[in-house]
Amino acid sequence: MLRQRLTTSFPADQLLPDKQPAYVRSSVYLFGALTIASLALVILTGTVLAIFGPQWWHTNGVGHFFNSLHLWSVEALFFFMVLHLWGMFFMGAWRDSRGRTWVMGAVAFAVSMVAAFTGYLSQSNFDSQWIAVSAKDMFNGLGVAGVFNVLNFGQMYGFHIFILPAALIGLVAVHIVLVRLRGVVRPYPLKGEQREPYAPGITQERYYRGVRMVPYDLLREVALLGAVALVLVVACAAIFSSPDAKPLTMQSVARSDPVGFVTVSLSELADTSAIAQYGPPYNTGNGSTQSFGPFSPQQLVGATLPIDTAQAYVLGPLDTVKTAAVTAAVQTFSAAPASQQGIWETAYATALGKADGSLDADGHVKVAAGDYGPLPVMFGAVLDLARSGALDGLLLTDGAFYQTDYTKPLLFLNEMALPTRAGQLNLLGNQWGMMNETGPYPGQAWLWLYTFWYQIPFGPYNGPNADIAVWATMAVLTLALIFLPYIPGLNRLPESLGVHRLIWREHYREARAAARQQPVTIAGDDAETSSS
Amino acid sequence: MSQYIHIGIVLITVPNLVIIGLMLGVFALAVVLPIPARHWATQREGYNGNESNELDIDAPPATHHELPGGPTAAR
Repeated sequence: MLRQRLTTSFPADQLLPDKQPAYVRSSVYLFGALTIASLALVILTGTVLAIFGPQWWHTNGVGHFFNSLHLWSVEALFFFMVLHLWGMFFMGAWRDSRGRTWVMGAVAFAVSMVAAFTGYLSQSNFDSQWIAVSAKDMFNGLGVAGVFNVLNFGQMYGFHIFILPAALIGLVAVHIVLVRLRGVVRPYPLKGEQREPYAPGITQERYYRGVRMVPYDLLREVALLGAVALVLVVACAAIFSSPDAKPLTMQSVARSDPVGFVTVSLSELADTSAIAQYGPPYNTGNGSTQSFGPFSPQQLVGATLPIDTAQAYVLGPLDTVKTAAVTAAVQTFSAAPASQQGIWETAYATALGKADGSLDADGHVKVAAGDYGPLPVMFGAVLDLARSGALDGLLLTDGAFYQTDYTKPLLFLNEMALPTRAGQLNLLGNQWGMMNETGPYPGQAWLWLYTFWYQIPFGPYNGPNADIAVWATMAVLTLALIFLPYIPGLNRLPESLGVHRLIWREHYREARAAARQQPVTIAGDDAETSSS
Repeated sequence: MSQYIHIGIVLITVPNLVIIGLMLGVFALAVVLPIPARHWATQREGYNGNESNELDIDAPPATHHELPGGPTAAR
């Protein structure tokens, strides 16, 4: 029963056809198979990277090569997928009840962008750090950080290697099956051409009635194009490699810029840092809250990732230092009234601002003499912790053995060190985009339209709510792309643009020649496709 | 270090611009170039999908045409 139903629903001669319409002869038709071939390479190289773990490619030459293969497979995937999408758009490929095929393909395109984005976040190098801290505001603004925290490497890695690939493979599989079952859409009819009206549910055989068919070997074509994609990807990986700028750590920053490190640490203790003032999902502030008019999903959802900056970055780590001097300093600070704490903090911040970077005999930051209370002892100990590497571990620790949530260290580093490094790499300010990579490498070029809106110097795209304004704009555009077949006017656009006349020009030439041999003909050699 | 092209509100790195330019170029080429193997296959006039790959003289023409202003096919 089941076998019979499967055989009826998925006939082999449609899934693996040995012939297809003669009008399928433009090279534009190759981009779909090239996309599938590239996706196969992405999955294959990604599987190898997953088997050896996320650190393998940073320390092993073979691993780095596989990472390069993965990167260029992704570039090839989007390259061919976008071209496939353009081709199908100009052909109006959703006609004749193929709307669902288009929808599945467009959703797969959107899912693949998220999958690639989580991949860029999973690089565990400077690129992923900078992309993560720059992208966090949008997800925070949407109130989804609790379930999609771009600073949580483990969560992004899980999305990247399982959830999103599984969804993508499923969508692509359905898309391919729909293409095979429904067949390739016929060219737009010539003006005056009489064609049997399309009836929903007709068989492929009936749909192609009157259409000249030619031999076709789907497997051979996919194998050949797979070889083309493989050669292309291997060549790019071998020639261009892939970027891998070292990530910043609390240790590296404490060693390279002790004054900056202590200055940021002090702002965390004093609750004057950007994160201390940020608002949801980290606290109840309002320094970086966004809204759609009066509606703020960020405020509505609240502090789903609570961080007490003083406790997280200073007092908590100092609890682990069991020396009498440090314990006494912390007790003195904690026992002092808030006003006194504020006086010490202000005085120490002023002194740090004038520090020349020299260190004392203990390796602590040297500042002008003054009344800073216990702060020099406390921050000397914090600096020691950071330089030893212990603070990197402490900021990941939340009582469990395995730790992959980098929210706390990344938020700290984003106060000063990450933007400074990004500035050195020419990635800062309006020059930054989530589509960029360090060095001369292409990044997520497919996000160009997304980052474009940030360059508009007015309106909602250049204010405090810019992130969610851009998101809302792109959400509308993405939905329009997905449901294009069902939007009146837009779904007729390709016919007006006329690119299909070039793609199917041989078919139209033959049709015109055939028409001349008929008793009645269409008007002239320059007959155009129907504009109805 | 990334280099940028900045024209008005268009700001993009050179590598990303190269990729997008390549996409446009390859697409334009694909539009004008037929697939060689299929192009040759379609030159074999008359093939209409028969298993025997023989000339199908009874096959209807590829398209049917009427005078200008004739009925337009429903889609």
